[in-house]
Amino acid sequence: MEKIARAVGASVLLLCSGGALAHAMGVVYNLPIPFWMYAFGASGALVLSFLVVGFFVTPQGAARNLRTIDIDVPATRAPSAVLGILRVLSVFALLLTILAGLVGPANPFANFSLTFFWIIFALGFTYLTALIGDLYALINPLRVICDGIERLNPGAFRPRRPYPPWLGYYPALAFYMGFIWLELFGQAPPRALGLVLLVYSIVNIAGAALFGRHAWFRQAELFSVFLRLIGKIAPVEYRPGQACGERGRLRLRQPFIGLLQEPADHSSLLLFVLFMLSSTAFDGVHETRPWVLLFWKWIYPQLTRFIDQPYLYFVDFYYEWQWAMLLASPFFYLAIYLLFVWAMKIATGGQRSVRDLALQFAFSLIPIAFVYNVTHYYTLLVDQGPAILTMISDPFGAGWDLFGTAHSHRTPIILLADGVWHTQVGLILFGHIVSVYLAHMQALELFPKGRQGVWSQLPMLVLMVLLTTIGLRILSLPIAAGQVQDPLPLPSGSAEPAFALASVGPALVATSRSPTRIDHG
Amino acid sequence: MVKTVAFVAVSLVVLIALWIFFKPQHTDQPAQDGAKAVAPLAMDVPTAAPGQAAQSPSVREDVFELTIQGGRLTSGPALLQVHQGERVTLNIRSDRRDELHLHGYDLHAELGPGQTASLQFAADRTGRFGIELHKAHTELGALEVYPR
Repeated sequence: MEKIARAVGASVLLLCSGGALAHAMGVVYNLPIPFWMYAFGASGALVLSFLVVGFFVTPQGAARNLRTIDIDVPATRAPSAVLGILRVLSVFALLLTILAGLVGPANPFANFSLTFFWIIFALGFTYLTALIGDLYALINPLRVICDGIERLNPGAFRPRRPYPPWLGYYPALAFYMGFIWLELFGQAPPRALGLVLLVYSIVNIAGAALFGRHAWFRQAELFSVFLRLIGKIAPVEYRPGQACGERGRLRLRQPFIGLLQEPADHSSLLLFVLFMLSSTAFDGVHETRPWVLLFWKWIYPQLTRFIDQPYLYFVDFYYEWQWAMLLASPFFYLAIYLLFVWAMKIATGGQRSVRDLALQFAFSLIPIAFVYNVTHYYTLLVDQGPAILTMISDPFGAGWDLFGTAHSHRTPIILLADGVWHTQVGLILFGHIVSVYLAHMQALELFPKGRQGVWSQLPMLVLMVLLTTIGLRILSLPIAAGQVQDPLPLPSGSAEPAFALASVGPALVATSRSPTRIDHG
Repeated sequence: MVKTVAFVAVSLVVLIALWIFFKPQHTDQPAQDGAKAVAPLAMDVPTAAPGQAAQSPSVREDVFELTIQGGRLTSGPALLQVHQGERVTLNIRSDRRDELHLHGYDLHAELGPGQTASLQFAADRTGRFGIELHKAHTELGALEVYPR
């Protein structure tokens, strides 16, 4: 019994090493949003959703907004030159990142590759894509490399095997899971990132050689898939000419409308979208107090009954549990999503199958996923992003000063918590309304007969309010504080176990007061 | 077009009404409201700042005593919650040589056996800032500075 008490007490202390240090790159200084803001946001989302339906439920509204403006871009010198330069820069950036990772400074905060990859590319370029469209399809460095090899060695990338239809987007999803795992749990030195990127490049080039460039980069390469989805948010679409010399096309449209252009074409793509949502949610929740206590207060005591191992064994188990939760998260969201899609099917008289409906509405979740990503990470971009200007002068840590900025030490720009909170809640509300609106438009297109359209939207509306509420709630949860450590050995003669302090909560004092005052949060 | 404008107008009215409804009247303790709702014991926010000398309502002194043994925090709170503008004092005792690092404020304190290191600063930046033992590369806890 005493052992259990001690274990439970010790468990309270235990945490992932560092709430603030746990990202592969960069420290997030965000505070949890106040509870009343969460309540405001959730109720706002609910009311505004009904307003959207009330104002915009007419079939006429659906067709009007799908107008687009096409601009022909002649394949003349200037646009081709610009594109050419961008492509070269893109390959250069990739090679520089790999190299800087492998030979650059070991300090993650001083290494060019970490900041460039996680902050400038993964965050900055993603948000840029949402504004200016899927530029990546044109300048993907791996694709450029393949094109280059193809020109030197024609037929190198002819499809040696047809891309199996069942494989779908699962490779991209697998890469995505690895990517997020690396971001959250990697804790790896820059050299590891360099190695990961090198291996990733090789694997993708090999895959393109096996299945053909077009199929591989359309379905299997992580960033091609991811940025193509994000690019649907943008008001600009790039349609390159099919043949050499043929005119390319710029299509202008309303923001977010691109998400309605086509349904998801494979269930793995639905899972991909759900993982966009669930991975950000998981990132938000996995270091909060309730979540951490979920393991240490509820699961761990049960485990100690069956497994007789030292404490540190359970530390490893804890991390593995976190990883498993990350990988399971999209399936959890899938279950919820399918439940509501099924409700929609019932509400519309069962004309279409659950699978069909699920794919049709998959992309309407993207605005929620995207704004959630932005609210979670944009401060990182603002805080750490400018550091790239310093690092670019000395990417290998060799004492260079290429652009004269190597010694301009910038203090990170720490935004005021107030402003951050307001931005976060505002963005989430905005994304929520957009998603509800898109789902509404989609429903009208599928079920044009008046009343059915309205009823069919109720399940989606509830689903989205639920997702938004969960997202806001996660933002408001307190973050656990402390570190991984052993419980202290019993001091001689003491009846009560004494615990090392890093507490999951304020003021757990080990020596003078009762050490078993565990936070019941 | 008219519909969109009307929608935006009505939405704004609704949001403003909800904001007024939900925003607490007194704005000086958002941390407690938030913490209270999530975990009742987190109401101990005031006790996380023992030895406060309330000099005047606008400038509060928060003094925290931390004891580190064997690279771990054995006494004192891991989570320090203060409000913006308060003067914070951290008195740290350690049985080993190390360096305490407060992220965000980028403050360092040299720790060593038999001496009490002290960090004094004004909590003028809001946010959540990790407190780390530099050499041991472990995180001891965090300082949370809430806006007023």
